[in-house]
Amino acid sequence: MRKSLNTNIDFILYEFGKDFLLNGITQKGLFLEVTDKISYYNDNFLTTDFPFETGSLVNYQDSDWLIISEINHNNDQDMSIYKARMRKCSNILILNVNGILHKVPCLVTDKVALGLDINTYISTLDTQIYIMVANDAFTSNIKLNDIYKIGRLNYSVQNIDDLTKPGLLNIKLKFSEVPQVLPVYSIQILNGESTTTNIDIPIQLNIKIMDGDTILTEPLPVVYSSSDEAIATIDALGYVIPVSVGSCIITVALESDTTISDSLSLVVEEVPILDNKTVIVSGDIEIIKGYSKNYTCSFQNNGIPYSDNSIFYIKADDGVSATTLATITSQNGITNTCTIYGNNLGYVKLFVKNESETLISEGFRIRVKSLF
Amino acid sequence: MFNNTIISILGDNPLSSSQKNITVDLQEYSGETIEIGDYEFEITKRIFISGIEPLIYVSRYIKIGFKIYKILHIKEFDDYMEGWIYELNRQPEMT
Repeated sequence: MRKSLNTNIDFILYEFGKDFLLNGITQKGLFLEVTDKISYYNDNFLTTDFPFETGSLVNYQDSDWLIISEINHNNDQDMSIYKARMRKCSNILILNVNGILHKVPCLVTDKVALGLDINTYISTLDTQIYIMVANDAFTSNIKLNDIYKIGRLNYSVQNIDDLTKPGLLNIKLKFSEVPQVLPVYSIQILNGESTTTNIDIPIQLNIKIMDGDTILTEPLPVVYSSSDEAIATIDALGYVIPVSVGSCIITVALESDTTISDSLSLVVEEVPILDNKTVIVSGDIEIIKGYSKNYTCSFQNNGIPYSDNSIFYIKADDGVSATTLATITSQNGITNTCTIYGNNLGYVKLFVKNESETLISEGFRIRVKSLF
Repeated sequence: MFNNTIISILGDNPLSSSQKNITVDLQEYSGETIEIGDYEFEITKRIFISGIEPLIYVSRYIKIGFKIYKILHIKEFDDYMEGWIYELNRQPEMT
């Protein structure tokens, strides 16, 4: 019993449909191996419920395929079904478009196999070959006498046929002793092989792209990536934004060939805590004339005590002038203590500094008063 | 007719939710295939439904136990319906 495909395409796609890329976009379609003739070529029928065109590039099962037939349409208004033959691309030619290298999947064939109706069993060796590529914006750059390396040899373009099969270019090439000359690109991160930053400080990546020994003045498109975006992210302009403490690899690669790349090892650290050192004097604010009092000081960095050697000294109440109202009778720089004797009534200010004189306390005001 | 199997009638999509539960006579079946385009489907089960159930028609999916089936063919009689069903290879993940 036979049933119509039109009314069951959703079911068939659900049950047997496979994901593939059509001109770089993920789609679902039905693939059926062509078994009508044994031939050198690997052909499949592609069936979809959306339109596509002759010359479309299919990536299926990790291989590139070219739609080489006209598109068969069922002309059903309710459910459109599109079917065409695709052929596995056997080679790649590298096209240089304004310095950007594009890999163009192609079918290499002999003359008679250009038509779909004829399949040969054996291709003969010849100095001429024919290739079939998609007729698109990239391949429109292929010109007569261009030289391309296909397989192990180089060939020059003799003729380009863009009329026989709309959507496809049939190109006749002839063996060339002159090799295809392609740029030899390299890319380098100028920030070094590794760098360290902290969470608050972004980094601008600087790069240079070279063709051989020549630095390109007009850089090629590149893509940046971070191995761990929880540690640092990088935008399209190479601006690295730290996210958290850790390390990751920042990579830049040519957009057209990501095998040409350079990397930088990035370490993200905590924001360093800046020194905020103080020294604080403590003790009684009054001394009775003719008596002594002990005073101490404490060195602190961001509120945390640390050890340093102290030097106490006394000034008049203005903090500047010398005074005889009180005298330091003894001090110990290691234990940060001193003893002050009250000579005459009045106010003095006790200061303390560290031994290296990088730190001075505020004046600690002490009153020398009478016993009664 | 042994109406001893409960089936859930789904929509026109294997992922759609149940619209109705009915009791049917489920029978094993072999020897029939249905061709759709280039694909061939072996019918391994039939369901018999007492009366006419308007929700049962070709293109519908049904659920029996934990398995989803597609109705590929329907025969309508005066007082019952016969449906040829195909067990999906690609069973949707049950939630």
